[in-house]
Amino acid sequence: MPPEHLSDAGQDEAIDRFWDQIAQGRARDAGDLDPTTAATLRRLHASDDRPGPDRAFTNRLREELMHAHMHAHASEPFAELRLPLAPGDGIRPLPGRIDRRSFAAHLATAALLLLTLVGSFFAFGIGRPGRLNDVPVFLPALGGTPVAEAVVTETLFDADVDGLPTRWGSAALLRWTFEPNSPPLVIPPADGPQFLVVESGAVVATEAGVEHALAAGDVYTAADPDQVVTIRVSGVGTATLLRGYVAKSIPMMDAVGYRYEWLLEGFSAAMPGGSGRLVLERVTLPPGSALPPQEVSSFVWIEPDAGTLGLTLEGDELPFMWTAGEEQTVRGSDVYPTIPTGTRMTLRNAGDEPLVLHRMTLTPDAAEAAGTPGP
Amino acid sequence: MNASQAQARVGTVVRNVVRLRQIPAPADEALSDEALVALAARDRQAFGVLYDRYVDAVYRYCAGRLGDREAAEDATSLVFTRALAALPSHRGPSFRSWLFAIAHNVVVNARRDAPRARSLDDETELTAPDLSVEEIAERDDRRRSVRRALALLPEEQRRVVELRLAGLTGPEVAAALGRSHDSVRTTQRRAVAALRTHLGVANDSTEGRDAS
Repeated sequence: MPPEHLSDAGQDEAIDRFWDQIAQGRARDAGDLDPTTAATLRRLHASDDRPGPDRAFTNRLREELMHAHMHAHASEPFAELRLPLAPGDGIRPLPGRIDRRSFAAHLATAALLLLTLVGSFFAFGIGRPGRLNDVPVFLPALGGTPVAEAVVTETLFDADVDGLPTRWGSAALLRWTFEPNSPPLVIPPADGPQFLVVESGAVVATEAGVEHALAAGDVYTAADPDQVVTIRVSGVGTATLLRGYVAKSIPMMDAVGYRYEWLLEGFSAAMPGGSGRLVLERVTLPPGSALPPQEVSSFVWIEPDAGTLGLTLEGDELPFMWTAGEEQTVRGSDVYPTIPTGTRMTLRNAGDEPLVLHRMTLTPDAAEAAGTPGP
Repeated sequence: MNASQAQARVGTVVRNVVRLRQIPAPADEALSDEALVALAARDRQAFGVLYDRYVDAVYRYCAGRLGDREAAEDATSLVFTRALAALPSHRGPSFRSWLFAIAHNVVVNARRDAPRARSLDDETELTAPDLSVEEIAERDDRRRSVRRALALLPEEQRRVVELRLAGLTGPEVAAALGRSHDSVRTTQRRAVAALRTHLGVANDSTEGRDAS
């Protein structure tokens, strides 16, 4: 068929086929393809002789990757392990380890107080239904008074940290699930601050031969980047552990015997180095509720864990397949889009179940932040 | 792979044998990507083979997108450390698509966070003993014109073209970008039409069938 007779779909197919042949080094016959198009593709590839990587770099990186592998499979006894939140060790301690039970009690008290106040607000105040447009969901409260269910923000980790990466760095939050028969999990050193939060169940962290019993809600912070920690289940049931870090490279771990999932992942090419404050929050939005519109920041990472996130973006440069002002839904198991800094976004619960988000916020200290070039 | 690397690899495998007590199948460079991925769950040396196989392509892709050698090295490091970390959860038909999907995300973030520094466009290979001065000048002109043409493409088209230049097939590009193959095909056609105009290839239509 003459090339001018090819439909758009025909051209699409011919270009695709010829390009595949070029990639495989066997593009001798352009077939139906317009000769000028074939010539363009040939010229494009013939001129693409940009320099390859420096061999010293690729060899060094290979060594690092294999070294990370060795850490991952380390099975030797752990000579030195990290102390949790020891004063003066570079990561300043929280005011005491978070106790899940007291935390839950405080949360319950706060929630009860909030329900009472909000119930009164709706029962007697100007917030009566009909005058309030931005609170979409009502639940029965004490005494049967309908009240708005509030967005709940739980702080899982909040500490001043140092040793932050400079320039490139990753921020991540992973959930590890242990069965009672899971082997001890080795938490390898990281070249940046990292922390552990027991989400459910009971585990034992072993450090320098000393065992620390941890219950749900407890936080364990690695202080010395050259040391390792092991975690094993101490109860009879399944335990889950959150592991967060901000590091130059990704600390490797052996996944055999466990399940893990990435809850949050982001990185920046403009990490400030030095010290700062690192906060991890779990934000629960009841169905129909939303967070206030916000601007995407370099050092705030947020992703859904459970439920259905309705995400609306506005900005000049949006991720692939996104249209400004058009909501898309993202679930925890979906690939979260890479959203450029400065994009305005609105997050709301678009499902029938509570939406659970994790938000990690790094606030560099002023001195470092002042010297950090903007994106 | 040079002799010292080979020696180091053998040494590592031996240590793994001792420690794991179960001898993993050796990482064979002739194995498919998918076979190596499966092997890497037990023997991370298999990941080393995948690394050797793709590090150049990933670096060139990152360099093409970031335009700076240092940034390209940083990005390449991140791509492979992320890939190694996430390898146990990798599911899918093509390791290469998955790897370049990681590379794509890394590059998007890098471009977002850091301004472009010195461009690789400015780097000229000074030593080319088999070429005359005129041929070197002509080659550099050709390179520059292609780079300029690429730079003029809309971002969406350039992403597709850069992945193509990295050696991915159409379906692999689609998988790496999380798009349908049809959508990628359409973008390709538009990109090629734009490149043809920018490069002035329309005036030399005999080039198409003769070159090989």
